[in-house]
Amino acid sequence: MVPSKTNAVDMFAMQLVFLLSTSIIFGTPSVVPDSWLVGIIAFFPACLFIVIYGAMLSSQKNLGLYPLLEKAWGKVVGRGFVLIYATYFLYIAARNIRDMIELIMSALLRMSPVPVLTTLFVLIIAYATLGGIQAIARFASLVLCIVLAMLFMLAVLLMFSSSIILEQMLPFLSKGIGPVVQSAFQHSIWFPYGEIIVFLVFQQELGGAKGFRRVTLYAFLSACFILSITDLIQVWTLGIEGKKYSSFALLDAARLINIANIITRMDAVIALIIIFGTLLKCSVFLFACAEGLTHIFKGQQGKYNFPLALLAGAFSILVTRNSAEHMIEGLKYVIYTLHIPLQLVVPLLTLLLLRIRYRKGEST
Amino acid sequence: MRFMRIAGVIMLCCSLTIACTGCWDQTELNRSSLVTGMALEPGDHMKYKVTFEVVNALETDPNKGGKGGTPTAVFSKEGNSIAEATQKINENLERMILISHIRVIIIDERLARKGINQFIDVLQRNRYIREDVLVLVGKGSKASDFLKTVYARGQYAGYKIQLQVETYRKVYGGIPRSHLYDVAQALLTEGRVLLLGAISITGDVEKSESLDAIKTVYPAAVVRMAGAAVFRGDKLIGFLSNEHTRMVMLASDYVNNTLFAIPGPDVNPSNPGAIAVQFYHMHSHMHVKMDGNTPKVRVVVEGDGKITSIDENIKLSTIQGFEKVEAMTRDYVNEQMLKTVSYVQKKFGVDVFGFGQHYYRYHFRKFKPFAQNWDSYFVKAEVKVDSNFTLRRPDLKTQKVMKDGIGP
Repeated sequence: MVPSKTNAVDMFAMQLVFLLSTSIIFGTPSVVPDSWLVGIIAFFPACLFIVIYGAMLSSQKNLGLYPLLEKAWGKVVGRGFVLIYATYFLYIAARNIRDMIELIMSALLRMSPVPVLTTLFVLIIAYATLGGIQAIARFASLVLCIVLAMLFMLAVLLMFSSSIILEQMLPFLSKGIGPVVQSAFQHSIWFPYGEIIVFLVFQQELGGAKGFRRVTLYAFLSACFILSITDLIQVWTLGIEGKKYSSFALLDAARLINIANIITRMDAVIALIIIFGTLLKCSVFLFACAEGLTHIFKGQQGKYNFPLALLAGAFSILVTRNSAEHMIEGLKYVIYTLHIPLQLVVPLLTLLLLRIRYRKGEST
Repeated sequence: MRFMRIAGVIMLCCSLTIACTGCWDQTELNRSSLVTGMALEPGDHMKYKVTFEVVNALETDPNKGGKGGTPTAVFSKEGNSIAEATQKINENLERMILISHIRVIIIDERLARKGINQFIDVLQRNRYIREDVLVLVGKGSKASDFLKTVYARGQYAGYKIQLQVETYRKVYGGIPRSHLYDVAQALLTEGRVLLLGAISITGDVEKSESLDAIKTVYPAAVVRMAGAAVFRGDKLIGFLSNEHTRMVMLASDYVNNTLFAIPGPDVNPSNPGAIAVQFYHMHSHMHVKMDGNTPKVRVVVEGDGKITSIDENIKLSTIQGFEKVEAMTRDYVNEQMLKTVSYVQKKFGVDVFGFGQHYYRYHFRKFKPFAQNWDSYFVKAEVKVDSNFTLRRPDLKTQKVMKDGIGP
């Protein structure tokens, strides 16, 4: 593939939508009262990812994640890791599809069979990945505009229907700062910030370490800002106590919009935000997975996209039986068994190995 | 090859057309009916009786008019849970019911006294019922009777009640916040008990069920606002009158627009010299602190308004005239507020004002030791009211129209 660089703005848009998409609804779990603070606290350690990933990239002349792994761990082990990463990306894609389907099934369509919805959706994802990462990036700017416009509209409409009561965010830090920090380290760092590792796969096309550091930092900052604002909107409208019991807090907030009994029921807006965001996020993951398989099995570009998409769709249905299982799995087991090893431990070891095996100056 | 391509595109289009219609979730409008009101009461044979007011859409068309039938029909069903009764409504009704546009949910007084927690979940969980639907307590009559009182406008009862509540709150403020999310809010937060709007019926319901009843100038039965229903926990313990409710809501900053009629000297309503003042922008806030075990509360009420009527001759072209009316208003509101506070403290002994909630929000750590039985501290609360009213203008006359002396 000819490495042609993507526009920095497109890349920023892609990363931002990627960070926002499902975390707008599922991002900060309401295990602590001041959940909006969690996102802000999580931002600082999350910047560590930028440092690690940036160092990985710059040590080897901006090779992608898969060649890097092979270089650091050798042919056999490296390939094993590539396969693991590809499966990991596919699994996250499946989880995100499930997130979206959960929301749609409870908010929009109740009786439509899940397999039909999933199949239609994954076909679109597969189609989106056919054009390569540049096509996804260009599509991202559009999605970003839609998502931001809708969020803004939501905030304004809530304000005008006088649902925003600032007092409801009090009492502030009623359980102390401890649980907030703990929650930041337990959840928010790994999801959504840590998932940025998937972008390492495409660095050849995206502009390398320098661009990656800068753009990702901006994307992290914006995502942190937007997520905190949406969290605050949820708290201001539903109250700390009400938010705790809500399956989809932002959806519940949108349901409160009522302007003169004319503009009501804006649930569909939230569903649209999620659908667009998930579309982009899953495309990125699916494309990364397909790249991994192409890298190992030397197939033709785009050969694996449709089968993988259908696989992700099937996984999304089979992965858990009900929403509680889905939530617990996502918030607990996935973080300890997948996110922490694959987002932090393996990259750190890889970086160490790269540093040892290829000292400065002799980068080949 | 080209032929294959075109055929493929056509096939794709066809399959998308079929797949994207969402046939599973379709609801035909002429096979479903809108529900505008819902009444919950204890059943005769089973636990609950649910009554739905179903719109007969043809009769409510303002342009074509109906055929003289009733705009709504009321159907009841009993069940051991609200959801069961709702699903069984089609034993009597031919269409599917759409509860998305429900306007009011009326809870029977008898049911409310047993506690609303046992059935409120189905309303909160359902995605079709909006969180800002009104939840009211029917005082004195059966809940289903409220949906049976038709009146001359030919509108459905649920809509009439909703509009009435909103308008009444807008012009007078004698009804509390009473939406579905307020129920959750009050049950979840500390230091404030649940208040729901209460409605009652004056007149004869039996006569009012027929359409003939609305062909008179004087309606046979009318639904009227009856203040607030006070809950302890989730159980109804009593009712507050409209005037007390207004004062409670004024303290918790929910009244924007109201009118105070200040009685003449010696606070006897029949004495001459009464003054009416209308306020448009009322705001209030409170300060709560604990002095040992006694809450010390200071309520500050601010308002911006005009003078609507004066019976005695106060010159409103002078600054002193305004100051005098302002002082009278201040004293009157302070006194009424204190009366309401001590009435609630003695009669109900629960914090309807949200003093505890304010303390909980702003001084969480200090509130914690009192959280368990805040109401027992509320009873001892010492309340001080500071009101600050500004009367801006006297409307169109500078004083009462009466002769000052001889000649112009």
